[in-house]
Order: sequence, then C-alpha cells, then structure tokens
Amino acid sequence: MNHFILRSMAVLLCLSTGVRAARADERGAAMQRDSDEVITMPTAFMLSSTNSEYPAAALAGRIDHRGAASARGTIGLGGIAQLTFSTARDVRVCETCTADETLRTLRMQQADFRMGAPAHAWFRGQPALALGVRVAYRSANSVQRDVRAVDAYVVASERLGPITLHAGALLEDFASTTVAGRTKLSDQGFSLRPMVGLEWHPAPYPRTTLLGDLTWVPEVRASGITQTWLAGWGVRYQAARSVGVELSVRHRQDEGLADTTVLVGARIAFAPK
Amino acid sequence: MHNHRVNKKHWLSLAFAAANVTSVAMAQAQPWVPNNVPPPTPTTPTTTTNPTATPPVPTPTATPEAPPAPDTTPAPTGDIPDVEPTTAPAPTDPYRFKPAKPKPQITVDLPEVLTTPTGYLLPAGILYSKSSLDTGGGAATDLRLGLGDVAEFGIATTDQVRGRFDTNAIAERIQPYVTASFRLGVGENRLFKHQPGMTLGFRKSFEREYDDHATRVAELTLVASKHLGDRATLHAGAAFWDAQVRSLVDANNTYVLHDQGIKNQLRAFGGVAVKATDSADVLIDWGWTPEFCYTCTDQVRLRAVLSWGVRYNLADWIHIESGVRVADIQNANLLDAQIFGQVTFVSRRIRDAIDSLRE
Repeated sequence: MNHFILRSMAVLLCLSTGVRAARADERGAAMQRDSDEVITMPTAFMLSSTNSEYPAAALAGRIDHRGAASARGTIGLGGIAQLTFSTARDVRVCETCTADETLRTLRMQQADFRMGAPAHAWFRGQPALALGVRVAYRSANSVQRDVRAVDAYVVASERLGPITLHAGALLEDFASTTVAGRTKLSDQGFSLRPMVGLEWHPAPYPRTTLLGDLTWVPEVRASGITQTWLAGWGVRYQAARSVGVELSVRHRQDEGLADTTVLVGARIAFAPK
Repeated sequence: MHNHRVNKKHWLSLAFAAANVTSVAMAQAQPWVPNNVPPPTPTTPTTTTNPTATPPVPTPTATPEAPPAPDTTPAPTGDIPDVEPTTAPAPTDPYRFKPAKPKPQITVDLPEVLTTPTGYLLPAGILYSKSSLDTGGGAATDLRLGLGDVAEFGIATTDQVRGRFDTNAIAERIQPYVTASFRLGVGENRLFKHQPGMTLGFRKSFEREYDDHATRVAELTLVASKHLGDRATLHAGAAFWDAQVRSLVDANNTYVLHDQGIKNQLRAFGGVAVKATDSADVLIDWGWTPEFCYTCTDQVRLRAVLSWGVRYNLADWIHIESGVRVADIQNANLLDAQIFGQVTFVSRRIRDAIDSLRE
C-alpha cells in the first residue's frame, strides 16, 4: 500500500513538473545556487516560484560507484514550504554482522516536508530558517525487516559573500521490526545531533560550487541501533540554466578510505514565471 | 479564348446573382435601416379631421416582439410636417450575444484547518472536496455542500481512527472509515460586530467491522473562528465524543465511551492560520481522534493529534496542502509522524446553476 501511494505521488509530481518544464527560466540558475540539499544535509532554502499559479519543482537523481541509484522529486509550496519524495540509501544494516556479512545500504522510500522563512523575512540579517520532518520506511518482505525512520530537524542557512553556511540540529528515531521483536533508537533516549554544511562559490568559476557537509544516519547492527556520522564533499557544476551536475564523495564512521562512496548526480529545477 | 471569356462572364453573373439572393434573404430576415435616415416612427392609426387627407398607413415596428408605443403627436394632415419625426428605440437583435453578467465575488473560508473543523460554513451551493494521502498508507476523502449559507452537509472517509489488539501492539489504522456530517451556524459578523463565525456540527460514522470487532464513533463539535486582522485566523472549539466497540465473537463484550463519564468524552481543540504570503498559509491545529484497544480495560481512548503544514492557494478553486501529522502527540512518539499531501477543490458550479435558474 505504501509503495503504491508513494509511486502514485511520484507519478503525479512528475506529470505536474513535466507539463511545466517548458516554462523553466533563468530562475532555475538561482535555484541551482540555492539548492535545498548540500550533499546529504538539508538546507533552509526552499524552491520558490514567482508565479503563484504554478509551483516550482525539481527532479534529481544520483548513482554511486556500486550501482546504487536514488531519485528525488520536489515541489515548492508558495516559497515557504516544500514537499519531497525520494528513495534514500543512507541507512545501513546487517543481520548477523559477522566477518562474512558486511553492512549493506537499505533502500527506503522517503518523504520530506519542510517549511520555513526565507532570509530577511522577519528581520534584517535573519538567515533562512527551516523546520522539517523526514519519514522513511521500508516494508518487510520475506527476508528483510520492516524499518521506519523519522527525523525532525531545524536548519539555518546564511550567505556570507562567496560562502553559504548551513547549520542545524537533528532529532532522529528509528524502528526496526523483525519476527524477533521491535527495536527502537529512542529506547536509548532521544539524542540531538548537530549537522553542518558549507558551499563555496569561487568568483573565477561562477558556475561551480564546492560542497561539504556532515550529518548523522542510523545504522542497524546485531548489537542494536546506533547513529553514525556521514561526511561528504564534492562539486556542483551548473551545466545549463536549470540543470546542475554533481560529483561527490561520502565517508562513513568506522569505514576505511577504500570503502568511500563516489556519487554522480544531476538536478533539474523548474521555476515558472 | 472567346469561350473562356464567356464562361468567365457567366460565372461572374452567377456569383453576382447568388450574392443578390443572399443579400435579399438577409434583408428579409432583418429590415435594412439606412444610417442617415431616422428610424421609422411607430404610429398608431388615428382618426383625422381633414376628409381629404390620405389615411395614415401603419408602419411595421422594427422589433416584432415589442408592441409599438402610442404616439401622442398630432396626426399628419396631408402636408409635409415640418417637425422632425420622433426617434424610436434602436432595433435590437434577439439573437445578439449577451455578455455574461459578472459573478459576485464569494469569499470561501474553508471548513477545516488541516484536520479540525473551523467555525466557517461553506456558502450556499458551494461544493468542497478534499483528497489526501500520507506516508503511513492512509487515504481520506471529504465531500461537502453548503446549504443556504447556514448549514453544510458532507460525507467523508477518514484514516485517523486507529485500533490495536493490546497495549503492546502497534496501533493500526482502520480505514476506510466512512462518516457523514452536518453542520449549521452563523457567519462572522452576521449577528453583531466582532462576532466570530460559529458552527455546531455533528459527525457520525457508519459501523465498521475490523479485526473481529465492530466499531463506530460520533462527534459533536462547537467551534468559533475569528479573523484577526488581514493575515491571521484563530479557531477554538470543544468536541464531545462517543464511540462503541463491539466484539463480533463475544456478544456480551460491548464497550461504549459514554459509560466512562463526560470528562473522558469532552475535549478542547483549536487551530491557527497565518497568511504568510499572498499565495500560501501556514496552518497549525490540535485535535482528537478515538483509538480502540480491543483487550484493554479502557477499550476506547481519545488521542491528541498535532498537525502543521502549508496551504498553497494555486487558484480560487484549487489548493494544495501538505504538512506533518503526529498522532498520539501526548506520548511524543516521533515514529508516529506522518507526512501528508492533500488537494482541495472548491466548486461554485452548483451555485451558478441555481442562480441561472432564478434568473
């Protein structure tokens, strides 16, 4: 049922964005610069459209060197909120966690609702602010577990010359249900984790943005559920007005350099006027 | 060559004749009125005192449907009158395109914040529909019709009623849960200045059989809503709940909420709407929903639901709403949070049809 609903929503989103794709204009360039995501960390920038009759939208896709692909579609809601549907591959899981079994990423469906205020909306010098909730889930099948991850976050984003800084806090809960029972991250108590991000737009290369972020993701081991850090760095190149391509690298806690993940992705933004 | 000229003349003459026939036919259908001559004066045959004068001939009126107005000018006496003939109303074409009358602007204050009712009723003849999906697999619809600016009738399916087998089990949605609702009330500032919009509503479900139990719920609400300036609206109300769970296996096992006293039935709810931009509203509301626990001591409990989100007004007739809904917020269980998206349509077709019948 969840799969059906998510797929229906994704199809509707693609249809609505596809119809309006021809109306993409130079605002797409600004939207590439003010992306709603650094690499993994969400930012406080929202998709916005100057024409209230047509919502802004964005489509993005990524694939890593192991062949794991993910996609996301975003629709802007009046410049103060946005709704995103995506497939997430951030959570890792192992069943027995012995030497024979390595941690593997778990593909989950994810929805992200974020609302906030643009920069300087409330007072002069106010950074862009956002409050968001992400819900990710994967229904159990014959061999896997039923998992559900929900996190709430606040994030502030501020442009300081060629640099854009992002800082926020993440409150996360995760539940894993198997035939043996249900385990929750919150059984160990709630933990608030910081997340930071940085974007540098070098003046000699106006189409290029260097990226870096640090955030936290759950990891399911035989011993229980823990939160591990996830750091990423990379570069985004604005190939066309509305199209950006991205090359990034991600490191995980307790992972050697050889296990680093390399990702390549593209993003198309539509902003009707 | 000669034949060709003859043929050409022949075709030209035929075309000319056809054009003449057409013009005559058109002239018969609609009398020609020269621009520089005043239109004929509608006169009625009157008696005259000069026997030598020729009797006046009645002139046909330009508009056959309108009777000729009686003329009070003296009848002609045979000489050419030195007074100008009176002007008649210009002939009108009954088939002329009439531009539609501008529709009066109607402000529609929606009957729900996100999940809780407001103190506003739909205007008469306004049809309202809402369809929503969420990440927990929930789907809900709502269809309402405004009745005479004082009442509203609706039928809906809700995905908010939940049930669990025991206290350790995870609550599952019971859906679709079909309800019918009727609300009546008065609009804002209708009775006196600064009076909030007020509604008294009743919502009742059909009996739903699920997991060997038959359940049903009913809710009586009284809500007041008030606009605070141009950008904010406040909603507050009280709900009186009742619910029943009946075992389909054990006929003696029936539990009703009203046996537990009024304090377990009466709850306050409310919401706030702030117009953040010209096209988007920020909405927050706090409501209640029943939860069944089939083997618990208290088989029916009211659980608080906190919702927040944004309503994006694409046009007067379509709104997109999205946000977060946390069921059982009292337990602060983040895993119960659901992200939802819903589309609201507001149609005035029925109202326009009624208005056109009245005209």
